Amino acid sequence: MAAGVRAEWRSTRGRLLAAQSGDREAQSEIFAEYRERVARQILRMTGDPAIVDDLVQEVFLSAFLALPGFRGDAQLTTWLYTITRNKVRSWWESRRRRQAREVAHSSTRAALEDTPEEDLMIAQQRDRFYVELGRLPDKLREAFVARAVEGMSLSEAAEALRTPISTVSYRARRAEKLLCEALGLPWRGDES
Amino acid sequence: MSSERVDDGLSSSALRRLVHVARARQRLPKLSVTADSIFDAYQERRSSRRERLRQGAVGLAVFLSVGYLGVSVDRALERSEASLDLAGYTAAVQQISREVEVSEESAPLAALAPRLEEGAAVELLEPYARAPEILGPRALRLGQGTYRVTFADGAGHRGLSVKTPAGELDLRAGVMTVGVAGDRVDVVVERGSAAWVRADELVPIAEPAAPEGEDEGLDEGEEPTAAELAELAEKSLSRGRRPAAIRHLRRLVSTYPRSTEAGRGLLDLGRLQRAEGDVDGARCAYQLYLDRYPKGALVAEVERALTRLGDGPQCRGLRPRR
Repeated sequence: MAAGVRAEWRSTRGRLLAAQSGDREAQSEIFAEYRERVARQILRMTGDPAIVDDLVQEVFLSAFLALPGFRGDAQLTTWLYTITRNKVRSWWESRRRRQAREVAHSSTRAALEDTPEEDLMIAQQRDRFYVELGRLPDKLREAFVARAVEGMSLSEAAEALRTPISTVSYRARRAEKLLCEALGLPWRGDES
Repeated sequence: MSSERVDDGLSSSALRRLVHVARARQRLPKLSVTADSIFDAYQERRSSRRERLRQGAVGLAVFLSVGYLGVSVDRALERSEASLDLAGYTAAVQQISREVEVSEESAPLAALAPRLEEGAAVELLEPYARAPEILGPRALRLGQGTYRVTFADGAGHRGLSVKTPAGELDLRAGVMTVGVAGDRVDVVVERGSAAWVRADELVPIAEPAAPEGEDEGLDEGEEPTAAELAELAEKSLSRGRRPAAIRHLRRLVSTYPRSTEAGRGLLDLGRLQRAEGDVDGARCAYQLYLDRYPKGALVAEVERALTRLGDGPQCRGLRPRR
């Protein structure tokens, strides 16, 4: 690509426009910039490192196919988060349908055979947390992940989930209660 | 998005520890996916889309040309009572087929592409939603995303056919919002009626919703409560009607300033007005929150939002002084 054209990319808008027209280099730059961020979000949402690669590919493929229709009224990060959330939701649904949770659970344990005892215990706790997280209704899980796992503020979560602040707050609290019940943890009224 | 953990909203310290473990001990695996692999898949997907479009157009052209030739042959037979020259007929069809095998961008094919009839429309409510595939004047297929489908003329045996991963929907003279995520499809009938097409029967989805308006969902003459206004705002938002949500929230925070819903209503109002491009209005909503709840739990967050909006005119309540 000519240096003059590349200079146009210095503005995010210019790069976005190039990517929208299918420019390979512009899309590569966007991928390089957001790849790790999306991968971390997927990992935090699912707790399963084995599917991160596949879902990252799906997210960016969907994003690039939909880019021509991206109007830019949302930030690219928020837009990508929405796509990621939808991909992860589909993944949880298909996982539930196939009832493959136990299989994945056992494979995770197999991969941890050589880890020290403490790490194994932590990994088991984490697995249990994600098993119960996966059993929550989609909207409750997404609100909880955005607030408690992703660490978003209420406003940020409302923006990312396109839901009113009051609803995000309610769903996250409801999810917390259900998780505590499922995991046998004390919750608000139970805690002194 | 902030990485700062000021308020995670959790009230269970035990769950907080577990979440912390889940966050802290997660190691991101080495990613093998590359920009090249995605771009290759992207090109492949686009090619297959183009091919489907081309095949559809060619099929339509052949269908139309066969119909045209059929009429011509019938007329020729009537006129001369001559025998049907099948070889010539086939050659003519092939010739016409070859003529229409041009790129998808060409005008002739664009003209041949099916279109929805007047009164039928589909609108993408999310920027990432995939473009719907128009199958015919009264038929379309939805991809992933959220759409608003409108159909003005439901006369006849069937309405507008909307194909989704979960099956076919039939929309009669109305408006519905359809959200598609994977194989899951959520349908909200805003007006009119819609049904799932199952075997030989139509299964109605829901009773028609109340008509859109300032007090939709309320009885005439009824003064909505704060909770009802908050609910109306949420319904409007979920249907992609941001201006209506803003109207409900303004009414909520003005009519019930001391309600429990008003505080978060102000924050939502600020956020939605900013999204609508009304930066001064957003600033006033946030400022009003700080005035009303100087010791509120979200003061720090609101101050950050105000900082991001920058300076502007002073406010009188929710209105900026011009």
